[in-house]
Amino acid sequence: MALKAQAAIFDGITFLLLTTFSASLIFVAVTDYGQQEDAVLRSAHTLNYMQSFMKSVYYVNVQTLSQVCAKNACDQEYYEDLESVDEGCPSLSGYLGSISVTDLLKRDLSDPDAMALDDYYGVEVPAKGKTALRCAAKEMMKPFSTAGYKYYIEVVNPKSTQLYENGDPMRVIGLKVTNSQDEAVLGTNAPNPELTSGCEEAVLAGYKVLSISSPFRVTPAKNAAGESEGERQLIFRVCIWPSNENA
Amino acid sequence: MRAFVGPLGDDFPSIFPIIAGILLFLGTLAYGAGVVDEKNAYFNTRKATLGIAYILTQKGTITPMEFQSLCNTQATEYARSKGVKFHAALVPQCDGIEFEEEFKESIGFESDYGWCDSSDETGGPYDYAEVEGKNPAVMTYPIAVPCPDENSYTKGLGLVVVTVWR
Repeated sequence: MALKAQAAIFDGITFLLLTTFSASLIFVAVTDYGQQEDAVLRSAHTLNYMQSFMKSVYYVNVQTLSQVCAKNACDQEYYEDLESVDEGCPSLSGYLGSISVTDLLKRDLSDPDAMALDDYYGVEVPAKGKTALRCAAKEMMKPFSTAGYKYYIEVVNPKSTQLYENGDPMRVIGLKVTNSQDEAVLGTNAPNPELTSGCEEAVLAGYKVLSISSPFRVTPAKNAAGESEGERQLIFRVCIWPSNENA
Repeated sequence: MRAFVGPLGDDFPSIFPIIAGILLFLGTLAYGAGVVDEKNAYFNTRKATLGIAYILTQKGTITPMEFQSLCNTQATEYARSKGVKFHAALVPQCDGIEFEEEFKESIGFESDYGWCDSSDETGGPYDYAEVEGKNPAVMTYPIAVPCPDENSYTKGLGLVVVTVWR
């Protein structure tokens, strides 16, 4: 009978061990539960934010961005020149109240000979589209910038609907529209840094990039010979990714 | 036969680990179900926040009058259909965006450009200090608003701040 009692308590302890194992499995399952949904909701929020940003820059008048660096300092390295009275956000005060950021960006791009984001329409006429976009992005992307995200905004000539090898970026002369200083993203060591697509380089650098694009129609001006390339169907693209660049 | 104390008496010590095992298992199940319910509720709250924000930021620009109209009709209806309570505000940021890093500062903000909540549907007004303890979802989106004042022709920087809770 003593053996029978030992067998019974052995069964009981075995049952307890199995239960403990089951309980630990439940704890693991509960801890993991919802992680994918959480990730989906986070990216939905990020994409919704980027969509809002993209829609807003079609309406925000450049004149209203002239105070951007007056209230919030533009002293980070990647906001270089934005405080400049002649070249930065304050210089946007001279534009008419009806000109939006994308209006000016299109004007900046529609150079008669070679399309480029250089803050000029042609060679001599200032059209601070790139600066206006940098000022708008500096403010509107602030929640993500402060959370450690990096953004890159570009205009590309589309070739496919994929993020990779999506087309030729429009030439950017001087500072790019980004808060990233990653040399891989900026294309510092690339053969032609002015024609580097920051979004594609960020993907190639291994960042988890989220991207939003919208059609962007630009009509280049006629050149000295009176010829024009005709309307160009471009893509306006905003990319964002979490980064530990400044850590 | 000396050690025999009856059929139940002999198995008596084994009852303790069995009961402990059953209690542990049932307790874990109850805890797990509670955590899953809580996570699902918060996911639904966040989904509702995204939905309301999308309603209010659908155009990229909004006037205080349009905001009030959308908020009082579509957003309120949407919140009711999802079984959540909400507060939304249109905040002008004409001189540059002042992002509230402390989310509690955004809850219940009564902006000059317009705000609304679901209090008419659910019997408010709300005690927003109490709402802070209900794990609300707060989301902020950029939008173009009339600047420098609400009757201006020019559009400047603004924010739509949406807070949703159960």
